[in-house]
Amino acid sequence: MSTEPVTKIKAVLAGNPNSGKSTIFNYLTGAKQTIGNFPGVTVERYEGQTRCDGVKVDVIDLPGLYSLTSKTDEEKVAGDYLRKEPYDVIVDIVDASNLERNLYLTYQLKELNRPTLVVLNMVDVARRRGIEIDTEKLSEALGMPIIETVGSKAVGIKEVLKKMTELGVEGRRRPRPAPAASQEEAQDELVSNEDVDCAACACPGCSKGCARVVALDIARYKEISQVCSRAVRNISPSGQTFSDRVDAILTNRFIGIPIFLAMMYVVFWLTFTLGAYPMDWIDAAFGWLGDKVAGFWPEGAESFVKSLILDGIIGGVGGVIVFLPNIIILFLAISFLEDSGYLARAALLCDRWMSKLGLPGRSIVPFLVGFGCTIPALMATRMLNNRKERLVTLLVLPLFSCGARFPIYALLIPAFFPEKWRAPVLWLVYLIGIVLAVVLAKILSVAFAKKGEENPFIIELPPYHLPTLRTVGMKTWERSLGYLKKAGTVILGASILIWFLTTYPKAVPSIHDEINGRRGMVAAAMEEFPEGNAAEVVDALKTKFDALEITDAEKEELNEALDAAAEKVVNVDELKEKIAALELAEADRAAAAAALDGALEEAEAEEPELAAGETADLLAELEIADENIKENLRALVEETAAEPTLAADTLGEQLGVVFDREESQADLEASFAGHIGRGLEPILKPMGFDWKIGTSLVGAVAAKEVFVASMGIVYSVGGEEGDEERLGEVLQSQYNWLNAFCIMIFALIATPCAASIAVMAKESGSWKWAWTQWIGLTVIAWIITTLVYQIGKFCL
Amino acid sequence: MLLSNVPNGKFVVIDNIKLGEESTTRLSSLGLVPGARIRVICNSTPKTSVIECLGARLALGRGIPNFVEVH
Repeated sequence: MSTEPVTKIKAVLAGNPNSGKSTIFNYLTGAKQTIGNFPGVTVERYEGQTRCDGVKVDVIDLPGLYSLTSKTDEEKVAGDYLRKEPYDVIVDIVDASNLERNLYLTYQLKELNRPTLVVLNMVDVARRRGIEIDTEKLSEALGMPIIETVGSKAVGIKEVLKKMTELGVEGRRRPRPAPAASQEEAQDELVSNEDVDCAACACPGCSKGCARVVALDIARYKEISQVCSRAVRNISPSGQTFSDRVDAILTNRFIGIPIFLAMMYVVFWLTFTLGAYPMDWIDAAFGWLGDKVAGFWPEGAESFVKSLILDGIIGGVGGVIVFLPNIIILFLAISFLEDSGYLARAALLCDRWMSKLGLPGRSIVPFLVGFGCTIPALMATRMLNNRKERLVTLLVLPLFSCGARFPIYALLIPAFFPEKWRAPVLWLVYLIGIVLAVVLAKILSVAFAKKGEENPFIIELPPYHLPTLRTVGMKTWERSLGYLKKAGTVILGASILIWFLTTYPKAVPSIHDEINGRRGMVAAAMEEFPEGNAAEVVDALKTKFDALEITDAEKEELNEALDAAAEKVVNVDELKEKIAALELAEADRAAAAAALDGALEEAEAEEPELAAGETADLLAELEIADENIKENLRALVEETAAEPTLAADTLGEQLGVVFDREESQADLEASFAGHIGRGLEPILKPMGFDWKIGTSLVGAVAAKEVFVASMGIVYSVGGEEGDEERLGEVLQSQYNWLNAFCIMIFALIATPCAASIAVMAKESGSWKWAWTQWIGLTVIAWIITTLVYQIGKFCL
Repeated sequence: MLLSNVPNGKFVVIDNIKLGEESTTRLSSLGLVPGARIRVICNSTPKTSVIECLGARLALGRGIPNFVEVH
């Protein structure tokens, strides 16, 4: 034995699920925690540090386990760690209110022959239930020191730290026996081969191994029951407990499922409705930041760095952080349901249906969350502890139509389907997703199933209890931080890549020069007619545009833009003059002027110019009693709009918007995304998509909602309020309802966003699965969309 | 008698478990071994039993109760 002073020890927290292990861990280590994964698997691993009597204590919180030999993912990881890794002391957290079950693990740990401290947790709950434990007798029988704690109130934590450090220092000095060997030895002592009775377990094709395990368990439980009969006095009045009464309602055959769905609805509501506020704030904050940063460059200056920082980095970081409110709220809610004991009941309720798909009942939670957003849904699969089931759930999750796809439906359905068909079409799109997910889940779970593998459903239903804010908060905090650190960096990278693809290379400079030339032309025309009539300026410009060396179609487009711009201009001052000149009764005139002022005020427009349509709308909304005055006003607005006096700024502005759109369209066409879109055309054709849709889909890889914005750029509509309707109109002239339906089906099935790919890689533990999912879903999307299009075309 | 046929609230003792190795060892680690005394809490959902064993409540689903013999 070495006598050197020990300065550092490693302690392992082990215990059954629901034994209050995490709470003790949090109190022991405080905020000094890191969260990682066990190598090769996606089971979370919590590590923390603390100090005691000058010794640095590394604390590892293992996943909860019932048995060292268990086969489920988390328990296997914990069991393997305890049997194979080097550590100095085991801290075995035992739920005092459920002693016999918990002591089973303690007996298994005893066989490992490492220094072990038994922490008798939740002694308050045990006492309330009338369970009295003689700690001394129990400690003597186990041959291990015991400390009583009440984790939820931090009672006994100091003592635990002191004792575990003491044992750890001792353990560090002691030679470490190979745990596996000592385990073997201890088990031989417990059960001799003659004791193994194959008839007892009678499993088909029973190996001696299985019978031996059962024989060992029988022996362990026999010892446990003997120890308990000596050290435990149960004076609880047997009868219905609180949990019994709650369970009678929550797991009721008929109302259990509706209650579960209602609870999930509340979780949803909290996540997405309540989460929408901070999301808006984050959006606004990044918008503000973007404006501030843009201010560093002189107006109109475009540079690579500016675009990278504004659109690439600020946009990308915003895209990462914007999900954070959702994730935090969802994990708070799920951790609460999990720790309270309800989730185990929900799993039980849904298992009957979900097991038909080869999935556990708990999968229903990520699926439902997936209708809101795929990112938190992927993260929610952490509650599944079977690797295979978790993988299947992860793989099919994107098929549950997330909120980001909704803008696409909202754009296309009203534009292409008559009123009475809108709801059924939307319903059909969602249903197609669900049916596909169900079919795919079934196929995958059959494909992943190993031959002869059993899939037992055995879960503990822990007694209900109120989770501590500290544990729930810590769990949520760690998970959110994990999302930011790991997924965040990848999402940022992907956003920058997509930004680059849609922005570079720029259209050839000559296009920009040309558009700038047109800008100059307009400016010059304005100079020439400072107070001129709009019609004159427009005619002059039309003549100039006519002389340009461009195609007729382009000229047409410019002229249309010019007319549209001119139409929008109304000079309100002039309108007022006209009202004054009208032969109206004094009172009516005053009313009309007041109405106009009201209209202006309502538009919060200080400028004398107002779009004609807008003015007319505002006037219509105002409550003017006399229909005649209203009619007169409307006529005046129309008249003024028909022959507007040119307000140079307004026309310039209107045309400027047109030119800007032209530029972005030219840029997008010339960009890599545009080239990819064109290059993909042969593949897109069978689905009825052209290169314009293709280009938008490239942008939509970053996030599905980008599709609408991209289509806006491609069709030179967008950037202003109410433009979505106009975009709908433009699309209507280009495509039919079948194209629209196909776009929706494709958007539904293809992976929702770059962020989901990154999170998938993190949650599945490998990029292989992330790419498999991305490629797989894209291929499925292609096949199904092509089928729908071709069959639809044939039938039409 | 099979576990799935036991009326709610009754105490029974396990005779044997006719399941595969994984399920059998999992049940045994939870104390569901031949000779163990358990209470049936709820047997009203098809293919699933909720039982009490060693003071803890367990749900056994996917037909497991049909393979557990008790008396």
